[in-house]
Parts: sequence; C-alpha cells; structure tokens
Amino acid sequence: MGILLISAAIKLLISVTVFSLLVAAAWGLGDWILAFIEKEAKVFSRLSRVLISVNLGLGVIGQFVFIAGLIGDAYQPKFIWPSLIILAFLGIMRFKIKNPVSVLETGSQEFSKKELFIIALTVISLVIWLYAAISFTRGSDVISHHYQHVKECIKLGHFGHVVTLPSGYDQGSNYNPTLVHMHYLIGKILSDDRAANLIHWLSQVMLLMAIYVISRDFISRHVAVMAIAIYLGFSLLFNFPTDVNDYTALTVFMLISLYLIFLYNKTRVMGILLLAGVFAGLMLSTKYYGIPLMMALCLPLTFWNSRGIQDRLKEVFIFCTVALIIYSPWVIYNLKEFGDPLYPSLSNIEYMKYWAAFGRENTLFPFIAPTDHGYFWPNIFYFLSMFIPFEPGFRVSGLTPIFLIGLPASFYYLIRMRGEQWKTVNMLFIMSLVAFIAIEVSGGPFLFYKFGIFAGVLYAISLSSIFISWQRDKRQWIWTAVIVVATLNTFFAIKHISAQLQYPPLWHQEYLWNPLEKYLNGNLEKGAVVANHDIHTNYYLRPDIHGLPSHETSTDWDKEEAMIRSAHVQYYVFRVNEEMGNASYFEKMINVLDRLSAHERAASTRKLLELYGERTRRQELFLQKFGHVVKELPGEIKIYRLLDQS
Amino acid sequence: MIKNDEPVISPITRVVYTIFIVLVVSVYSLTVFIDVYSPGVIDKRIMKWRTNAAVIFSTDPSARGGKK
Repeated sequence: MGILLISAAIKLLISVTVFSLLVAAAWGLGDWILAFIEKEAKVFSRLSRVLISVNLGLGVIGQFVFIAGLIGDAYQPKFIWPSLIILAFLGIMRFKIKNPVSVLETGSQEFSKKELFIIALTVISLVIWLYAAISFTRGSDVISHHYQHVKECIKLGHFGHVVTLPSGYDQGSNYNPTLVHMHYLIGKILSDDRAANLIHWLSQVMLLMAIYVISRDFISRHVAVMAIAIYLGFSLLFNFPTDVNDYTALTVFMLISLYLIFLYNKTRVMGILLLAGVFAGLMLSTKYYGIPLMMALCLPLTFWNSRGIQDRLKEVFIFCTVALIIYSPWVIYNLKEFGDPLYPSLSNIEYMKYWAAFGRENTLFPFIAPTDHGYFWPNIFYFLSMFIPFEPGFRVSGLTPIFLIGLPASFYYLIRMRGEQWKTVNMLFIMSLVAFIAIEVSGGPFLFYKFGIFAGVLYAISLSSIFISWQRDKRQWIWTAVIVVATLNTFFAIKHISAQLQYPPLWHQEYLWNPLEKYLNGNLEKGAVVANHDIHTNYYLRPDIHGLPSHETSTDWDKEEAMIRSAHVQYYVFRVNEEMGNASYFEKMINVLDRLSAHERAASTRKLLELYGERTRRQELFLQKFGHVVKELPGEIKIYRLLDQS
Repeated sequence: MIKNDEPVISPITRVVYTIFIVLVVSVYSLTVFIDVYSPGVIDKRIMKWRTNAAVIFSTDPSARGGKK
C-alpha cells in the first residue's frame, strides 16, 4: 500500500512537472516573440502581455508538434523530453532577468466588497477545477474523442486517426483541426492524463484572464469584474472543467485576436494586426467552429474602423491572409490525406450520410431519456431553455439567465445610444449575435449548447458595460441578480462536480478499470487485436493492444465482418445487453413516433429495427462459426477468441 | 471608461423591467433548487407538457396527422 502511494505521488509529481515545463516553455517563447513587436512601441499592459505570451507560445508549440508529427515518427519521449526541457530552460532564463511578480501587478484601484466576493468565487471555482484536473478524469468527450485521438497518435508515433468499426472512420470530431490535442499529447506522452488535464485547466484560467483583460483595458475594471461574474453564471461551467475539451482554448484564441484588433484600431501598429491574424489562425487550427467565428472577428476591422474603405479592406485582407497561413498546415494535411480541405465537411462520405440519417431520429431522444433537445419543441422554448435550463441536461449547456434579463436593454441601447463610448459596447453585442447565428447555422440547429460560450463571453462584456453605467440604486439591483445567479451556479456546479472529486489525486488509472478492461489488460497477449464496440473501453486498453472500437449503432454487418477479416481481429467482445439496449431504443422511438402520429417515420424506424435485428442474428452466427467464448463477465459480456480469418 | 449615461425611461417601463428581472432570477433559482433537492420532478412535468406541446406546435405535418 505504501509503495503504491509513493509511486502514485511520484507519477503526480511528474504530471505537475511536465505541465510546469510546458507553461514555462510557452511563456518564454511567446514573450520572446512579443519582444519583436514591442520594438515598434510599448503597447501591451502587463497582464495582457502575460496572457498573449503564454497562449502565443502554446500555439506555436502546438503547431510545431503537429507539423513534426506529419514529417515522421516524432511522437516519442526521446524527442519530446529534451525539446521541452531546453525550451523551458530558455523560458525560465528570460524571467530571471525580469521580476515575474511585477508582471502580474494589475493596478492599484481598490476592489469593492462585491468585487472581492466575485474574486473569491472565481478562486473557489479554480481551486475545485484544479482538484478535478489532478484526478484521473471520467468525462465523456474527453475519453471518446480528445484523449482517444491523442492515444492513437502516440501509438502510431506520428499524427493519425483512430480506426473504428464498422466503417473504418475515426470519430467525426477528430477530423477537426486539433491544435489543443497536440498540447494534450505532450502531457500524455511524458506523463499521464493529469498533465493533459492541467493544460485544459490552464485554458480555464486563461479564459477568465482574457475576459478580465479585454474588459479592463478597453472599458473599465468594474466592467471586467462583472463580466467575470456573468461568466460564472454560465450553466456549462461545471461541465467544462472536468470534461476536457477544446472549446475554452478556442474562445481564448478568439478573445486575444479581438483584443489585438481593438489595440490595432487604437495604435495602428502593423505588428499588432499581424499578431491578431496569428491568433485567428490558431483559433482556426483548434476546431472548425473557428471558421464561422472569423466573420465576427472581421466586423470591427470592416465596420468600426475610422479609416477609408480601401484601408479597411486592406486590413481585413492582411488579417485573413495571416490567419490562413497559420491555419494552412491543417488544410494541406486534409487536402493531401483526404482530398478535402475541410474534411469531412465537403465530402460525400458514408459516415456523414449516417449522421444525416440518424440525426433526425436521434432528436427523439428526450422522449426516451431526458438528455437532449427534441425537434418537436416549439423553437421559442428551445431558445428560452438556453437561458433558463429547465432540466439537468439543459443546465449542462445553458447560458446565464442574466442574458435574458439583459437582452431588452442591449437592443434598446443598440437603437438609442450613440457616441464613442457606446461604440465598443454595441459592437460587442452585434459581434456576439453574429457569432451565435454563424455557429448555430454552421453547426446545425439545436446544437447551441457548447458553442454558446464563444458568443456568450463577448456578450458578457457588452452587457456588463451597460449594467455598470446605470445609476447606483439600479445597479445594486442588477448586481444582486448577477451575484445570486453566479453563486447558485457555482454551488450547483460544486454539487455536480463532487461525483468526480471522489477520486483522490494519489491514484493509479488502473483503479478506474471495469472488469472487462481488467480482464483484457491482464490476459491478452502483446499485439492482440480486439474489437469491442465501446470507445471508452478502448481508451483504457494497454498501449500494446490494438483496439477496434465503435462509436455508432450500425445495421451493416457485411462491412463490419470485412473489417474484422482485414484487420485480423483476434478477440471480439459481444455485449448481449448492449444489443438488447439498442433494439429497445428503436422500439421506444417507434412508440413515441406513433404517439405523435408521425407514422411515416415510425415505419422507417421499424424498418431500421428489422435491419438491426438481422445484423445481430448474422453477428451471432458469425461468432458461433468462427469463434469460441474464452470468458464471460457480469452484464452478459462474452469475450470470443476468433479463428484465424486468413 | 463608461460614464453614467442612462437613457430616460418611463416609470411603467422601469416597473415592468424590474418585475421581469425578479421573475427570471426567481424561475432560475427555483429550477436549480428543485433539480438539486428533487431530481427528476421537473423532467417528468416537462416531458408530459412537451409531448402535448409537440403535437400542437410541431412543424412536421406527419406529427400532426397532416400530409402523409
């Protein structure tokens, strides 16, 4: 027991060290690049310099790791350890010259009691998220998507994709540009999940910092604190810190790019416009949602710019060109690998057809299990649920009700208020509307939940400016509402997160394995190929076992059988309960459709159920003919050893 | 820096807006408390209401027994 604890403590220490080295390397590298721009003029506030340096360094390192992974087998500790240590050493040497504490000074204005309360609430949230980060995560997307992709890249030794059953495609989201995965890769290859979790935690800190800096430097300190308070009221807070993702990093890149555009409009230093383009490029490299967000970022250069039309167009052109240059490695990779610069968005491939066909019926999910939105909702209620989440599923995804309160005021101010001081406020409001609509249109309807964060942070700053401008008596009212919502949300988040906090930091990931994972990791030979239909189980498999997971319910057995043969699958995990569960899902769906008199769709779903039944029968026949059961586990799980298919 | 620069609003608008603020925050607080202390209660009510609303408001003709 003592040895286990000591080894767990050493592993945790390595995770924290890897994270610290990465931050030192990124900060130093970013600061070194910024020094070139500041040769022209000293334009950055101390805090903004920290924010920009760290994220610029992270962005450059991430792009470099991606390119290195395209050139050859660079994803090996023997290459990454020395590179990171050298970069971190150079970074630390830069800060030996300066006083790091003075970098963090933020001015001498005193904070009011309300502001101190918000700061305390922020610190509590960050500490809880930090605790969650240094535990092994049990999130959703992080296991099925983000870390799964990172694990596969590490296994390959270079950049690549997971192969899943039955189609052979990777999980759809992994075809996005995945700059942040490159950071997680550094953490996971040198340590374990916790180093990667900490990198995600840093993006939470950076997001709060970005909201603060952009509000404080261009509007006022009071607005900055209220904007953070409004952000703390976002219902997605408890989801994001523990289910590691890329949305927060994308939002940070977007906000920094916007900050630099504002700064450029004020200073006209060309280096700043170029840097704004670099951050837009990093945003594009993080996820496809960066593309619609470019529309919002171009607005201040196009419409709220005092220069002539030719100069404006020139600036937009420069901004977009730099962004595209930074983004280009991902475009080139997609073109070379798949022949589609935005793969799979422009491709007519089968798994996209699958999502199109099933997506429609999947929206019926709320009638079967209350976790998602249904298209039978009147849209007005759907959009209302964005602000007041009526059920836990919505709470994961909702924005703050303060936005609902603020919308009438924002529209009123947009129409009535003129003058220089309202320009930024109204512009941010319009940008947030454009960002929201662009994301909603490009992401597909009823998908607002996680994407609200991009538009939401812009709107939080705009709305705070309006509230802070009110007379003292009315401002008190609105402060009360903001604080009530932020406090309630934070404590609801703590309650929800507590389920994840039961895993102490001094743990081994093996403690999280279920009986199936324990059996496979303990008994399968080195290099074994196992098809298991569960992407989560696949994540926990030993690195030397080749897993073929699945992330979709398929009715096509032929395709799956062909893949089993071509991939020389040796073990097949058959879950009786899962097969029955899928069939029961279709049956429930048919019942609901019939109840709603949607008979046509009920008939097509019945056909689907028949096809699924046929597929299961053929699957069972195949397993009887070509395999024998080597182990049965609780939950009606059977592990088959397959005969040599060749 | 934003200075106090409020537009002049009629007393009625102000009262209506204040009621709106109180209502929104109260509904939000209530849903949070009910969710925390009686999980599932809101779900069931919403499910029932939504199923009814679905038939009335659905844009899909086949859901209303319309065009086949």
